[in-house]
Amino acid sequence: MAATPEGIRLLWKALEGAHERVAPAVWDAMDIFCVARLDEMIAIASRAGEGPVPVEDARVITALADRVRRFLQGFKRSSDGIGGVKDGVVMLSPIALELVAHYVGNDLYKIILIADVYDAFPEPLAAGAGVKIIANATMIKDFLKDLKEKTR
Amino acid sequence: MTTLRKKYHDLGNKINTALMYIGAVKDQVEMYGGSEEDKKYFGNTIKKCLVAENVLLELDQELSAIKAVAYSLTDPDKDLKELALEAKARNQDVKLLVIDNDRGLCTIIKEKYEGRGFKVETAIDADSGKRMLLSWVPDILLLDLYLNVGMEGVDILRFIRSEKLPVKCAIITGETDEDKLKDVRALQPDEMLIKPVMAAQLTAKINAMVSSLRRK
Repeated sequence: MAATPEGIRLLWKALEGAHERVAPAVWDAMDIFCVARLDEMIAIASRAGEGPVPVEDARVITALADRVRRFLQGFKRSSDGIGGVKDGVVMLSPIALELVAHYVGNDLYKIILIADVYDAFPEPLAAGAGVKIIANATMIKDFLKDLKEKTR
Repeated sequence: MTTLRKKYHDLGNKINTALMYIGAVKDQVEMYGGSEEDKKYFGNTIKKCLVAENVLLELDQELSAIKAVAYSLTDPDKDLKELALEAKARNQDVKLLVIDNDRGLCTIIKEKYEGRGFKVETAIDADSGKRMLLSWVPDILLLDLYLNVGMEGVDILRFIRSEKLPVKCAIITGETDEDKLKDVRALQPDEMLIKPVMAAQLTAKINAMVSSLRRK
């Protein structure tokens, strides 16, 4: 299945059918290493309002996005239908993992590209970039909230 | 001098990769709960990570110094900005096609790389992507694997290979299942990146493809 709207819809349906659960320990880790960093990005981007985002702020957002990226790329597939945190590795059941990889991966990728500062010409991000960063970070948070609800 | 530049570029990439892995280990260790004994043990691991990180950062600084010398030897009057402007001028001959079903992502990439001199076009499905490949004839293709309803990105890559189209192709996908990626790897894309990709990494891959185009 896929990161197309139809693919995502089918994945949600499959998730419900498979009765996959996500262990509370995973959500604890997710809150600390993903949601808190998304909140930080939103707070920084909010300071610019609809105006340009200063270079220093953009670089902090990029660093935060990179940390979320590294956290997510460390996830492994679990076959026990619930997953957990084992030996420091986050284990997710297959469909939940696929949803996280496709959905969060795409939105985080957009944040990374929007917040990128060209080192040769370190200029503030164009007006409106902050709003786009907030929108994408909020979408990831909403997705995680839905996933938490449906895998409780 | 080109070899020297390539060497420090490669070294820089290796340092960044090592820093990335150390960061991942730190993240995972910080996340691990466990007993008091475990915490003490992992506390030591964090300390070792910090030492390794410092060594790498020092190496990175030394490398920057070497880089500065290398630049001064090749282009005594040019700084990073001038070199970037030169690259921008050179990129104006390079056509970059993005095929991704996410319209928002296409727009972001188009704006970003047009700003760096590339000619950029986008397509959000396999059919229009194939048409663009034949009519616009891009030099570089950034291709998502999942387009309309399934993994049509691989069909596009297959089409490129069977028609022997002279386009450098980078696959950018959120798919991490190696079994599903087997068919794609068999078609030997020029680059393969897993989303989310850092912007610097994407730019480096595009630049590498541009360089290989120029070598031809």
